[in-house]
Amino acid sequence: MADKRIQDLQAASSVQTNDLFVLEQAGAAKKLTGQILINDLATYLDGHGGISNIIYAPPVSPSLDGTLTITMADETQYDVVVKNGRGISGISWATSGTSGDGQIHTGTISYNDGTTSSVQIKDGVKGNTGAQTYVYIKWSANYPQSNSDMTNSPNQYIGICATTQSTAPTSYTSYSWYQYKGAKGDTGDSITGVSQTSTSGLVDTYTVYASDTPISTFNVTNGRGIASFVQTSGTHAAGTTDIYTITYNDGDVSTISVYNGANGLGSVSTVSGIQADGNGDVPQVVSGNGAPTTATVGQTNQLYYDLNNGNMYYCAGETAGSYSWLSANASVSVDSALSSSSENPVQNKVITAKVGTASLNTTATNLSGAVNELKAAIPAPQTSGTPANLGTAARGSAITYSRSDHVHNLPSGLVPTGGNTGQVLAKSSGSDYALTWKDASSVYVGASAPSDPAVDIWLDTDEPGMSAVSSVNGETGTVVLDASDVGAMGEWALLWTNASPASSFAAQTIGIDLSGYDAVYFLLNVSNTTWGQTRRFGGVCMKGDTYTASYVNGEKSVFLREVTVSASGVAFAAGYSGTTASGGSAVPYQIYGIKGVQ
Amino acid sequence: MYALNLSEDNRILSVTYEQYAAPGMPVVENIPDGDISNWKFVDRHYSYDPLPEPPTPDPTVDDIINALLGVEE
Repeated sequence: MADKRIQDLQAASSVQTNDLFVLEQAGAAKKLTGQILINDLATYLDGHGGISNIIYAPPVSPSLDGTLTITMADETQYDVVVKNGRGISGISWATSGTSGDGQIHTGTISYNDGTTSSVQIKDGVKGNTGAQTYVYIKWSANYPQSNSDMTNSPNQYIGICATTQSTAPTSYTSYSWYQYKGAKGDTGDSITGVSQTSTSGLVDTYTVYASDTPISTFNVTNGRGIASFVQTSGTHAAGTTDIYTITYNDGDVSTISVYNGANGLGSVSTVSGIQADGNGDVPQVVSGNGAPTTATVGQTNQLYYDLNNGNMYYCAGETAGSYSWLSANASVSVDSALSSSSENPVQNKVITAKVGTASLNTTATNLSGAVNELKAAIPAPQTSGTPANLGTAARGSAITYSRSDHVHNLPSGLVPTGGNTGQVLAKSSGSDYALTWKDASSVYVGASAPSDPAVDIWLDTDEPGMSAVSSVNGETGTVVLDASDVGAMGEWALLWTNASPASSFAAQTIGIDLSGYDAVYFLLNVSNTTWGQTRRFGGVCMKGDTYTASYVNGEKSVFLREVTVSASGVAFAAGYSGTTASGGSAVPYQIYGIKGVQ
Repeated sequence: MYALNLSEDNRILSVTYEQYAAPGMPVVENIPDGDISNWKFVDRHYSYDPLPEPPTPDPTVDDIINALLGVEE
C-alpha cells in the first residue's frame, strides 16, 4: 500500500473496542486498543475520578424519605433522596355481634407515618344442621364374600359402616371389614409347679409357677369340718331325750336329739315256766336211773327220762319241797347203751319210741353229718305185712299213712260207696256229712232248647251277646292275641319330649314323620309361679287338622296355643296368656302318635 | 345327648332328646342352663343373645280404678 496522509484515510465514526491505535509512550511505540482508550476516556470524562463511597441516611420520622450520599473521588458529593413507601406498624381488632353467626371483626391498621385505616371482616351466618349419620356393625366368620356371610353375633371379622341411612345396609360391600379376633398367640410357659403358700381360716392360697416363676395364685376353700360335739342337755335317763350340739370349723352350729331307750328287763329267767340253772341253762329234760320220786327236784312241765327203761315222766308241780312226777305215758329206748364219746351216740342203734300202748321202732340207724349237723338215713319202713293198727281216729282228725299200700278205712258213712267214673260228690240233703255221687253238670250250647232232659245248663246263642265268635282280628280257630292284634285296635307311641320345658317356646314346627299315624295327642305345660306348680293339659288332633288347646285356671286366666298336624310334623303357633302373646304360656311338653284312629 | 331346633338366625327354638331328633338337627352333649331361647348356636358354639324383655303392658281400666281406690291385689 502507498503512503497516504492521515487526512486521506477513511474517517471512523466511533471507537470500537478492538480498534488499534499507535502511540509513543515513554519513547517507545506501542499499540493501544479501543477498549483501553474507551475506559480511560470514561474515567477522565467523568471528571470526578469515580465514586469513592455511597452512604444511605434513613428517614427521620415523620418523614419517610431517606438520603443516599454519593462521594466522588474528588470528594464531590451528590445527595439522592430515596422516598420509602408507607408501612404498617400495627393492627388492633374489635369484635361485635354473635359468635358464629355474622359476627363482625373491625381491625384498625396503624402506619409508620402515623396514619391509620380500618378494615372489617364479617363471619358467615350459621349454617344448616348437617345430616345425621349412623354406624352399623356386622360380623362374619370369614372375610365375607356374600351378603349371607354376615351375622349379628360377634365372630372372627367385624364390619363397620358409617352412613346416613336409617336402616343397616344389607350388602356386605357397604361395610369396612377388619379382623376382630387376632391370630393365635404363642404357646405360654408350661406350669412347673403348684404349691400352697398361705392359709387363712378355711381358705388355702396356692401359687402356680411357670419356669419356676410365680405367674398366678388361686384360693381353695376347704369343706366344713366338725370342731366339737358336746352334749348340751339331757341326763341319759331311760325314756328321755338328750340334745347334742355340733360346732363346725366355720363357726356354724347345729343340734341333734338322741332318745334314750328303756332299760332292759334282764336276761331270760324261764323257758316254758322252767327256770334257768346256775349256768343260765334251762334244761327241758332231766334224767336219772329209775323213776323220779317226790324228792327228785324238777320244775313244772320239765321232763324226766328214766335211763333204765326209757320211760318219760313230767313234773306236775312242787309243794313244800315235794315234787309230783307223772308218767308221760311215753318212752324212748335204745337197744344198747349210747356212746359217750362218739359224735353220733345213736349210730347203729335201734330206737324204739312208745306213746301209750303204741310203739314205733326203727332198725339200726345210720347217722351222718358234719359238726352240729345230724342226718338220719332210716331204712325203708316195712312194705309188706299188716302194719300195726294205730287205732281209729276221730272223725275230722288227721291220719298219717306209713306205707303206700296201706289203706286206712275212713269211718263208714263219711264217703258213700259206689259212684261212677267222672261223677262228683254232692250234698244229698242239708244234714251234716250227707253226701251222694252225682254226674257233673252238663252244658249245652245251641240256638234251640236241648232235648236231653239231663242237660243242666243251656246257652242260648240266639240271645244277644251269646253268639259264637267267628274270628278275632281276622284270625279263626284258636286265637292267641299278640301285640299285632293290640296294635290294630289303636297304638300309641311317644314321638317327642321337650328337654327344656321351663324355657320360652316360640312359634315353630317340630319335624316328625307322621306318615304312619292318624292323629297326635299332645301335652302342654302351664306353670303357676304363685303356687310353684306346673299343670298339664292336652288334646287329640287328627292329621291334617288344626286344634286350639286352651286352659282356664282358678283365677279365670286363659292360656292357649294353636296346633296344626301334618304328615311331616306338628306346628305350634305362639302361646297366649289371655290376649297377650307369651312364649312361656302353654309350652309344648310331649307329642304322642296314634294309629288306628278313624 | 340333645337335639336342637334352630331358627334361620341360629336361635335355639326348642330342644329335645337325641332319640326324637329329626334329620338335620344338630346333636349336642349339653345345653345351657336357664331359658335356652336366650342362646344362639353358631359353628358348634353357644352365644348368649338374650331376647329383649317384653314391654310392660299398659294398665287396664280395673288397674286404674283399683289404684284410685287404693285397692291392693
